[in-house]
Amino acid sequence: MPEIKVTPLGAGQDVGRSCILVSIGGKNIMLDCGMHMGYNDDRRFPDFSYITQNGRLTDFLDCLIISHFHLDHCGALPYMSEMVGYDGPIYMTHPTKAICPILLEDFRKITVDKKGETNFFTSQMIKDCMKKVIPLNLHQTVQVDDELEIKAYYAGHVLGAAMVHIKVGSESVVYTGDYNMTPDRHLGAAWIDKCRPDILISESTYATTIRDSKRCRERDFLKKVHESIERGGKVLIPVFALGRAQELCILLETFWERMNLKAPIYFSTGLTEKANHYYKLFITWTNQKIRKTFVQRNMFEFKHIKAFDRSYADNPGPMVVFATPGMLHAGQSLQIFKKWAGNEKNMVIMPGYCVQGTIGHKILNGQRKLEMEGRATLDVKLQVEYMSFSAHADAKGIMQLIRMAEPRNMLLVHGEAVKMEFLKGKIEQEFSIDCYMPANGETTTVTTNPSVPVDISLNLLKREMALGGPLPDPKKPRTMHGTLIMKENSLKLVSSEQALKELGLNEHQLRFTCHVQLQDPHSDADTLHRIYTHLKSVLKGYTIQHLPDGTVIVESIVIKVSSSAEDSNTKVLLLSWSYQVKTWTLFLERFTLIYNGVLPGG
Amino acid sequence: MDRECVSLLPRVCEVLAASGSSLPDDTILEKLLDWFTALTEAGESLLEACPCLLEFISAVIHDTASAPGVLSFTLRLIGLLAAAEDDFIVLKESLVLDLVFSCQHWQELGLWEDPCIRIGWIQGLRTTLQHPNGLSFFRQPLLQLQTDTSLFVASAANQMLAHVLLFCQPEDEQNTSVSKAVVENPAEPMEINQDCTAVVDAISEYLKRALGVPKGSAQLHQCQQTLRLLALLLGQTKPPLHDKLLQTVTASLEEMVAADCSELTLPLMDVILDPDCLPCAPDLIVSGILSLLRICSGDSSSSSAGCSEVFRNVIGSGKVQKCALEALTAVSNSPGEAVLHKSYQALVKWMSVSCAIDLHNKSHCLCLLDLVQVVKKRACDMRWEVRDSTMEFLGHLGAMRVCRAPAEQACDASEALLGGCCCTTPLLREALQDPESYVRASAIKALAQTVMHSWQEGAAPTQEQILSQDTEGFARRAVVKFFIAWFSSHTSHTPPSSPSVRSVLSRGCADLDWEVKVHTLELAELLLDKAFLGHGSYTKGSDSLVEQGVISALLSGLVDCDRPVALKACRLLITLRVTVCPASQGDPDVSDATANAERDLNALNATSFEDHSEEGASAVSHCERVSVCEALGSLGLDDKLEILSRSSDHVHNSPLSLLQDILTASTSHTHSNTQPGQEVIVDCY
Repeated sequence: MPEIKVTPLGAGQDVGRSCILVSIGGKNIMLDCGMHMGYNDDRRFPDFSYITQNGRLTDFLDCLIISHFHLDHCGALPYMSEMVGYDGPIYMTHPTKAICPILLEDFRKITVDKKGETNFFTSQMIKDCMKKVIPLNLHQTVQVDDELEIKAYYAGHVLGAAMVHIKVGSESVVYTGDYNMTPDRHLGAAWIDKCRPDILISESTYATTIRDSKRCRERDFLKKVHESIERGGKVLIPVFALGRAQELCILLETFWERMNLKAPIYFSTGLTEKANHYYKLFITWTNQKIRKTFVQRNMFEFKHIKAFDRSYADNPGPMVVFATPGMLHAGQSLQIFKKWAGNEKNMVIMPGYCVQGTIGHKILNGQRKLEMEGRATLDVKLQVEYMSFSAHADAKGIMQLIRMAEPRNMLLVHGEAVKMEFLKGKIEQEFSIDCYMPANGETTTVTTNPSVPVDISLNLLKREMALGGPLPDPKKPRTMHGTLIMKENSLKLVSSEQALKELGLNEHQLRFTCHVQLQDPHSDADTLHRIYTHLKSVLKGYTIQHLPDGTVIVESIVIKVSSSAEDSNTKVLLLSWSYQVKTWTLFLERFTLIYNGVLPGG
Repeated sequence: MDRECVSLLPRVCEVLAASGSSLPDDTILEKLLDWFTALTEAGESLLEACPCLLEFISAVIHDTASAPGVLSFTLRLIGLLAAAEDDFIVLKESLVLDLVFSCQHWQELGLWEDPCIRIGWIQGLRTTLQHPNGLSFFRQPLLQLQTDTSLFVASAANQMLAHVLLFCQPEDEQNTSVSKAVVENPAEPMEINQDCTAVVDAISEYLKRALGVPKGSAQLHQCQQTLRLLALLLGQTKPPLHDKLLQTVTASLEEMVAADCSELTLPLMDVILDPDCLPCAPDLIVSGILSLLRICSGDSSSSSAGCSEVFRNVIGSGKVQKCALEALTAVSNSPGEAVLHKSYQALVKWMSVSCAIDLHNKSHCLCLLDLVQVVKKRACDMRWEVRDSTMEFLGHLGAMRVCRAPAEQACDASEALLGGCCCTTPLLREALQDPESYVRASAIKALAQTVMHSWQEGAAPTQEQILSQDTEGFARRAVVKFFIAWFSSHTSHTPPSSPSVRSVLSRGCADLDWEVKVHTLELAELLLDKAFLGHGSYTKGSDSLVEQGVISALLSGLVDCDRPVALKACRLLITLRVTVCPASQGDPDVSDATANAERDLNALNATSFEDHSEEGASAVSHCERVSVCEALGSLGLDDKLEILSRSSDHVHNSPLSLLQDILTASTSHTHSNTQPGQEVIVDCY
């Protein structure tokens, strides 16, 4: 039986970094190639030596597909292609291809800030890697090779995020990447065909959560920012260059406009400006509202949001600043944080998760006294808020996607084990399909029943209808008889007469004979007669003839009896039948009856 | 070990032992182990320094409710401790080792099913095997784990087997790690030697059994894994053992190769192929590759008939072309990437090894004409990737020196190949307007490589414009590098035009991109060197430095939030201090320099100084006249350098910070009920 194998190298029962190997129809596909921000050494990258040694990744993998630009999904890409040496095809959507290098550059900077960092890629490597990327359009089937094809679907989550349908022959897998089933301020909701994949590999970050409406969170966010500004405080929002920053900018921009607020809003980095450029460029990837209003006004041409200069941090009065990096590791966001931390009127809003080893992690954990460089300490008096604005499908959304795609099996990744376990139970109960959740390094194997499409001749169908009543009903399968012929790479089921005609063949009949020995002291004629009488008693409704030449005939089966040369008590039964499936089974069943029936009767 | 860490560790151990699966971050256990490993490597006895570890171990391994993650961590910690012979004895006496390294124990607890326990077990055992005493813990299940369902476990088992075998390797009689240890510690040498031989025999026997033509999926998996192990071993073992291993497996390998099982091709190749040995003469390979490339592009004239099958499969195959070009680049003895990109690379590599291009040779000339056509066409391709590779190619050619003919002078390769700047310059100029910043950057870089000085002077205004207007860092980075290349190729000590220098420095320093800023400081460094070298006196040197704005560039760099920028500026300021402020103050030149520097300091951007005073150098005030030496002295450069030279996260990613985070998380976790909705969910970034 054909199998599909799925092995996560990352994102198996965790939310560290995504990297999933799928083997389907003899093809090996890598899904995402993320990095873990929590490590400063090679452990941040997936370990490809688990797959092949000596860097023969190109020989092993048929393609690599990147779902979206977040670093936990694409951060190890230049490492894989330029340092490990993978040289095969890499696929991602147009926006992802454009934005990926920005984030990789952003992260390279943080890394360069950390001394003792070894084995990290250069700017040139990022470019060389991006040159190898083949861009994908939504809903366009791309033929990777003669057998393997992929198709991207809209996933929401961030600009350019895609789900991907991977197909080899009749087998298929869907990988969701990160997705969102409810539209937000700048993006639409994920959508997929009813493609009935063998496996649906879904993220499960919010597996147990039914998230409160985004509007509530937005209201909360605006309220907090507004209060802080009203009391003359400054608000710092540490972000990564792309994604959340844009969503929050639209939010603040519209609020400022509505409330007629005057406090300045700044972006601290050129990167975000560039990012906004891409949001303008890829307007078709945003949601309907943004596209509609685009004609009058581009949502990403901000009136209230200006570029930041480091001297502004000391300006008196309230302000809101978006600064990178998002976890307060280093750089601009950290520098502003240090300046503002001492004043309780100020506020820092952390819009995402922070790994251990960063100031972001510390303040989210509630630490109020921070040790700083040069034996200094920093008293954190400003207000610390955590508001997750990441756009993942919640439990309801995941169930909704399953209803949309109708997979035969479900596989959960990118979530915590305990939460996955809960969702797995729910899915198995509601959809009666198997749900898997392999840990990193563990392989899930799913056997598939490949369905092979076959055309059927209208004549045959009509004949069957005449025999068995109305047309076939999917709920009541029934057997049909015909001849399967293969012509010009397609399969066709026709009546045997038509098959002979189409193929230009003559009909032949096969006869099979066999000898069966019996112990019976009677004469040959008596034995034959006994068999005849017995068959007549058990095979009611069949034509059984005893011919004068010493032959019994049941349908096409001919039975003769002779004595063995050595021992007259041993009778040899000659059985001969023409090859017809029905007859053959009948024969086998009935012969058992004969055999059992004759002898005991002795 | 840090005293503060020692004082926190007992409480951290308590938290860990009681934590279950509620650890604040998935990396903390790994990071703790990193710290312990570093301490051990520094020669500390962990058990002696932190006796609480023994209690922790005992608490965790005897508690049936311990979380698998914490158990796995504990197993690895035990291995780490047992790697030191003294601690090994302590652990052995407390019966910990026998308990935890018995896989039966874990099976009975029903924990063996969890792959993280198996990994912890293997890795713990592996670190234990650092000394011959550890060998007594070599366990048969290791061989079975080699085909474990978890890729990670199987791989760890393979590593472990390789480690054991190498550890027991009977190199030459005197030098084996085991025999050395035996000499040092003659207690029970016989036993240890026997252990060793037994282990080597068990593994060789296993290899022999596991290899062969597989007859089912389980056997296939075992074969694949064993081939991986073999590749690992053959790469690391030395002669006697290496030969013995080869002898053991040769017959099976031959059989497997003959069976032609597609799933085994890759792992078999790993074993059989030695990457460094070429099977035949380079010339033959090159001509082979060239005919293959010709077939790929549809030219079949040079090949013999009768291989139409090959043609059908090979013509137009990008994969074959890429491999062929890669091979070509490799044969030219340099490491070598889409077909055009690779073609360019191969061409550049080949040009650099085969120098002579004979312009009098007719076929060479035709070939060059073709190349000019290709480059022109590719420079306006729809895809930025192609345009960029073309610009990079031109840059590489510009940087390469070739000799045209024996009698003529050396010139750059673009001149020799493409007829010089009359062909390439318009292409590069046009590319400066390219919509893709990568292409613009490559074009600037290529321009910097052309050594036509007169043209560079003319290009400077364009470059300055790019620096002030280009929205993308790549192009701006390239511009600053352009100026560096230009100034350094200049033979005179005064750079071509001062206004241009000043505007490049001031724009570069105020850039949003950290690399533009670093490159600007590199430019400042170049100017610094030239100023002091050329004038031989500090006066004139610092005069020009002030005029060019070098000093303001350095000072603004020093307070930059991007660490590499601040570090570079700090180093340069120290160099400046060393140069202009010698120990004795009597030197007339110095006072002159001081006077100039005073002017400079006054002329400086007020903001950069305000920044300084905030940073602690309050002695400096822009309205006060101070000498440059005093100013440089008041910046606290040495302290700054010490901090800047360390990692930006050295405080928050330190062991102490880690221990504090674990403790804080545990207390905030217990109070988390008070703040609903504040749960931090691990998600993407």
